[in-house]
Amino acid sequence: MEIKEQEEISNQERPPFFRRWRSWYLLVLIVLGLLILFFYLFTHNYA
Amino acid sequence: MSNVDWLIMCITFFVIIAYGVYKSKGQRNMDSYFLDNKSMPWYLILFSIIGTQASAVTFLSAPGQAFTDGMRFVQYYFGLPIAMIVICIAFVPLFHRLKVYTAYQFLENRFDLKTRSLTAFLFLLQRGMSTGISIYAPAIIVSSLLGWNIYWTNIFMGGFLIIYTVLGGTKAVAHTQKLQLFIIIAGMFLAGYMIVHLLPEGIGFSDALHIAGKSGKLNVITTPTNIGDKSFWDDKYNLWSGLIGGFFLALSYFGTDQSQVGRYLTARSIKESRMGLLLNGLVKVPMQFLILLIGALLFAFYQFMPAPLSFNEVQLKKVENTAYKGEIQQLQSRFDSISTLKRAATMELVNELHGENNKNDVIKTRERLSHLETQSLEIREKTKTVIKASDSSADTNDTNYIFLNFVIHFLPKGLVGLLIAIIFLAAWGSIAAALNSLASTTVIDIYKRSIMPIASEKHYLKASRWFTLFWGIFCIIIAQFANKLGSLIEAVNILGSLFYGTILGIFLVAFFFKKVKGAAVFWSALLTEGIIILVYNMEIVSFLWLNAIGCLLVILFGCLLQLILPSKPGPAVIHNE
Repeated sequence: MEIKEQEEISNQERPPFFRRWRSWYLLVLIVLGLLILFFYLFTHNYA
Repeated sequence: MSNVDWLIMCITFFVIIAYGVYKSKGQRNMDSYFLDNKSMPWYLILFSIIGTQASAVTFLSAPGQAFTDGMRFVQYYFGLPIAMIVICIAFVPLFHRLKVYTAYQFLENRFDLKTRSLTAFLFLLQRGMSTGISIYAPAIIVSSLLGWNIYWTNIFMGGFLIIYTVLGGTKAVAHTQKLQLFIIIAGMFLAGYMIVHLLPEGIGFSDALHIAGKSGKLNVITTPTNIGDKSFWDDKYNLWSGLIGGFFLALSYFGTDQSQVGRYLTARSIKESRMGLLLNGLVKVPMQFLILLIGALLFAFYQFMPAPLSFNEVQLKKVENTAYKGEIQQLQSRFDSISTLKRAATMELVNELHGENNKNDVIKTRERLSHLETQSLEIREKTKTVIKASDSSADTNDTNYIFLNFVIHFLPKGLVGLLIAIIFLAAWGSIAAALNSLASTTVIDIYKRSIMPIASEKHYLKASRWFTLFWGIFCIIIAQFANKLGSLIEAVNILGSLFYGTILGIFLVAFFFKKVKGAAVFWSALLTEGIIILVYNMEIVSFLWLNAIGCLLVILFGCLLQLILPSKPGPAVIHNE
């Protein structure tokens, strides 16, 4: 079975709060980006 | 430790163990022993995943790492959230659909038995050794506190854990991890609060951050750009190695290491597994940042308070009973003088930061502090040489003792006992999950598959318990040598990096390179593992890059060998066990 097919089957289980799992993945990436930005500012502020 | 500390520690242990045993009732077969009948909700999966990864090594070694090398170690976790997403998309649906006990069962369906057995063997070797280090980490606490022999302490510590794991099973492991994590988080905040609270009057949290920052300890993000230079590849922790190397390491650890796969296989559905993993991706980096921040705050704390010549004071006391006593006293005297100067310079720096903020004054004081810090480090290095000269078998690396030293000497009665208990609990959660996964891989992928394919459920359950005992003893033997490995948290990660790249490569070929068959991937994995060990021994690149290199080499060799080797059809049916 191809990855895409598996994804379609497992996507039938709706995630909480969002309509698609893709939104959750995007949220995780955005939070990571914000954390790196915060750490960058933190490093430069106290250096 | 006072009687109050002992009492609090014993009560905490008793409550956790009693709760774990109570929750483990009703196990009759391997399904309940290893998978808890696939009944766990997402929040238990989350606690179990975090509890398995965050061991006593994390709690003991990470603050010490920040104290000595700064907070840049946090970058090592940047690839983790991305890996969580890939695992949710590619790994979780497949493992659930195939209803596997271990990740390696899938490899026989996709390739052949020898590839499954090789991957399971690499996992057992790597995880067995890493767990040995995880036994040694809490054992050094007891040996340091009570002056016990470290080797006997390892045996005592490991023996206790074997009993707990054999009795508990997966369900007990997950439920105790939940309680352990609550206590650990509370303890972490309490320790951070106490460090700031114990600073001299007028020195606050912000001042402590400035002191640590001006000494280069708040270097959370480092972005070297000299890609053509060897130093770029030797640099262990920076943004690039964290995102790329860390991604491959996390993908391998959470996607192919049975100690983690076994956690989310217990979920009642794909949705529960995914939520546990994604929330782990959200909380892991901030959690690690906070643990490292404790180390940076400790550095600021010890600019005002007298620090010992070596944080491993038991070792230092041993030297004082030898002919090297005079040398140690001389070093101590010089170290005390420099500490006094450092204290004064730090106070000056704080006053300058509070005042008109003359930039030149700040820079000058900072340079003076930096010079004093270098002198301090030189004396510490000389101390290590003296310790080594007095006892060639002595452990001179005191990184793992830094946080512990603070707990014992500066925390009030009661809190010492609680924090020591927390370190034990963190160790138990992680080791219990590891022993459980070592037993499940041995029973499912080797014993049941190749040695005893037909037997009753009762027999396999009994075998699972015996193999848990076997791995417990193996890990204790490894623990006896762990003091030769330097920073424990780094030793665990180096061990992982030696094997994870190859294991991940095998899984990625299975998922994304459908034309590559068993023989090609098997030989490419063996070849890659040899190259990785060679590259590590020759110190060509920092260990974190080994994950990416190993993974890419397996894919490359697998594709090339497939062109050369005669192609045989893969397994036609799913192998049911």
